[in-house]
Amino acid sequence: MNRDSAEVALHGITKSYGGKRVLDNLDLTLAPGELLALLGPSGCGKTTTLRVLAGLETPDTGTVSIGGVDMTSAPVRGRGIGLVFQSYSLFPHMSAAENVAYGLRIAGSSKSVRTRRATELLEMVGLSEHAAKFPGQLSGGQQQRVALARALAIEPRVLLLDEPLSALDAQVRVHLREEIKRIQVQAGTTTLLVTHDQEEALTIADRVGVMLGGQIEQLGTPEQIYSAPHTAFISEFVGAVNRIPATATTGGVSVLGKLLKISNPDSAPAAASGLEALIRPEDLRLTRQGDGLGIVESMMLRGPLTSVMVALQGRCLRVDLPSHEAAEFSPAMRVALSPRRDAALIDSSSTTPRDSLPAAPAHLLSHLGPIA
Amino acid sequence: MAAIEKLPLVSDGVKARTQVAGGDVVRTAIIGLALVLFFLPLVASAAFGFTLPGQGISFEPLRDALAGTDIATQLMNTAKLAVLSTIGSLVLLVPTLLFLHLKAPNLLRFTEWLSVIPYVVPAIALVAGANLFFRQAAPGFMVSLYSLVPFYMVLTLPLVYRSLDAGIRSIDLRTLWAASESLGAKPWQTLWQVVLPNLRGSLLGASLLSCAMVLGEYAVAALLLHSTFPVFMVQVGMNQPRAAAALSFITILVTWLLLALLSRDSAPKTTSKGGPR
Amino acid sequence: MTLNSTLQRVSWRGLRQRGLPGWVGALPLLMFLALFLILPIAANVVTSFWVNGAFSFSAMAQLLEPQYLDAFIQTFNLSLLTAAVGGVLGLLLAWALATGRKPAWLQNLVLSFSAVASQMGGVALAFAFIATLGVQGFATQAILGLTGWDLSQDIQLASFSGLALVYLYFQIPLMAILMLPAFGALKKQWQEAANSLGASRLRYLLDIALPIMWPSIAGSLLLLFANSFGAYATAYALAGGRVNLVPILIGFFISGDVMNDESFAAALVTGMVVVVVAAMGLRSLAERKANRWLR
Repeated sequence: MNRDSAEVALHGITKSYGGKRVLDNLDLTLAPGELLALLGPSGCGKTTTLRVLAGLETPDTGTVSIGGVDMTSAPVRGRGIGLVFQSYSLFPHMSAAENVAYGLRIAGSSKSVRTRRATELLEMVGLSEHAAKFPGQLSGGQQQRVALARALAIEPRVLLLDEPLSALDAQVRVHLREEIKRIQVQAGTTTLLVTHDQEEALTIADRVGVMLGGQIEQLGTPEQIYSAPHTAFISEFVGAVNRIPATATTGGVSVLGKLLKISNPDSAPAAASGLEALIRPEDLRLTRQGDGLGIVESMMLRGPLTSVMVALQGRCLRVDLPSHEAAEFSPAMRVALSPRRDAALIDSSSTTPRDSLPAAPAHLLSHLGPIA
Repeated sequence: MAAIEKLPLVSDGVKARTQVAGGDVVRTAIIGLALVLFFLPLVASAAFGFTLPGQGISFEPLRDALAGTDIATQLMNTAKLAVLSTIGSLVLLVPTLLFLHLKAPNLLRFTEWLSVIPYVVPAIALVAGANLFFRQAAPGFMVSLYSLVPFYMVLTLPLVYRSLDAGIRSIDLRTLWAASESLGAKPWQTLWQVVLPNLRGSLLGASLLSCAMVLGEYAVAALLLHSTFPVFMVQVGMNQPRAAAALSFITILVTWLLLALLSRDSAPKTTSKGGPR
Repeated sequence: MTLNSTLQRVSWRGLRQRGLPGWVGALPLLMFLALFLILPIAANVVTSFWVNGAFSFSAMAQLLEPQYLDAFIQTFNLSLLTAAVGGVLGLLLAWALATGRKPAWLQNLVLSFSAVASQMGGVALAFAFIATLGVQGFATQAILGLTGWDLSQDIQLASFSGLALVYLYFQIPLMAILMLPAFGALKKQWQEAANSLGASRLRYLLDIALPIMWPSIAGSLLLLFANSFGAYATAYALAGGRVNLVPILIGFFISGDVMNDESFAAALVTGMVVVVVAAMGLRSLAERKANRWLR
């Protein structure tokens, strides 16, 4: 099914709207067949990047090439791209099958080819029995599957997914993102996924680019992005993180009595005081200790993991433990905390000290079901 | 128009896609042309109505035409009809709609369908039917000027109904009513102190629409032989076109003012069949 | 009216406590419409089939006499012409208003004027046009002064084409106002998706935009048609009896200017109502289709 997967490259892309710079000299390369997710808060430029690549926006400067051919000023329809939008992009007056076949109709394929291919694709997205239905008769998740099938029908060289799951219910979202991954691997199409949902990006992308202010802050595998974020922003954006006071020492920082290397020596603040180490809840070790400085405040069951909230030096820290290990703790118990790893990301303390847990993104919590 | 041409079609320094820019020129041209054509009759009626050849601006045509007539009576007639029809519509529709929304929302589809019937029946057909029916059923009825009120209520029903219905839909009446009742308010208190204040916008919108339509209504009044302002205008217009133009200008301006007030109040959009023709 | 409203109030308060069936609340409105809309129209329809005390098609058959048939044809043509031309131009205006990126003040001005113009018509419009294009009119005189062409010789307001021109003044903005929501419902993603699938602007227009908007367009055109078919005031004030139109004929019958044949007058009205109701019926069919797609 896969046509030659194309390499995609954006070089030095700059784009401004009314004096506001949305993309700032952005470079991005997608290897043939890979699924790259652009992750970032709203307004970071991720959607604009996708639209520039699609040809829906013209960059002020820079070049776009697909499969080694300069496409910077090629019209949308000459680029060989498949587009899936957040929602409602199916043509409402055509059945699911007609929607899927539309690109082939434009290309002048015969009716029998169109029908066969539409049937094939609808089968791939698991909607064979809904081929004759109109978009209005399909659920949101089904509509997005049809949209995906429609985009793939023309055997695009690049697949562009613009927040394809954002308008769906949580459960459908989780299910469909796995489907997308499966279909993408099967089709082998170079794919750019734009999303603001870090879980979505981390779970299905081969590589993730975190964007901020029109530039890519960090580009790497999901593992690298999650475990070795380059900046405090990324660390906090892609997951829950504790901010713990740190003091500079020779060769590193001291955090909770342990000497750690600084994982971001280039961007870490130089000041000796007011430093904080960013440590994920699962990277803290919790031990019962009668004279420990921490006091267990509360526990939240999150399924396989349990979050233990520990009050320590006026802060509330979150420690994630496998639930069976967490059973030995209970509120009001005195505990000691120490980092599991040997290095940590360092940031200057935020001006408004957080007195409570650095919140995990709300949608992440909702995934984990009701808290016991 | 100069202002339009100076507008930047594409934001700063962006490589313009020519087709988009071209489309913008066409659009601006269409809108500009529409504006000119819309305003031409308005400007012309002002220029024609308030001038005399060789004399420049003059109120003479209007003054001459009005002298010796009972314009005041006819204006008052139209004003009275506008006020009465509006009040009548509100008194009929507000309680009905509130009741149905609270107690029988399933009937709303039916009443909405009913409210659209006057769209389908031209005013001239209504007059013909009314003439036929009431001359036999209640011969005295049509003699009074006020017999026009129910017919004006019928003609304005589609617009007034929609405006009120949209207003009620936007306030979540049931919750409001339940909340107020749970605080111990009696129904009339809820109605007076909670519901109606929240409906102020749509009440005003419905009233303005109703007034604007009554102000211009000609067919019913003329054919039922009542003397209202539009009827007077036609009488004047038969031999004094300048005065008629002046009166038209004023009428259009007032109508515009009423409807502009309406859109300022961000009342529901009026997608409607036209007014009196 | 006072009876109605009193009844309304009493029943409304009583009902809430006693829980009478809901349809009672719709009763005042029903009675009002029955008395002032349904009964008159019904009386009219009955009369048109009731000639000299017996059921008969003779009055309706009279509609086919050349003079009256001509009135229907003229009215039909006038409505068709103004609906078609007004429809196309109104569509263009709606397109410009809905998709343009022009300053908001200009858009709002045209929008507000469209609302007024589509509601206007009637007597004021007629005289405004006489002031513009009449023999002594503002535009006539201006053009005469500039070019020496007396356009009042070529464009007579009291004629079929003159009426058509004036009707356009409310038909175009009415079409624009009616079509704006349909343009608003056209999603930008449809065009972008179509482009990505290889469609040119023309293909998008033909394959996607027009088919989606077609029910709204058809519905609006039918409304324009009906609107013009029943228009009386503008036609009367401009042309009087000089153009043979159904509403004008009806007017003459009602005011007793012509022979006093009650059944035939009623038949004329019935004929008109049938045409208009047919148009509006088709419109509601079209709207149902439009609503299915544009949601």
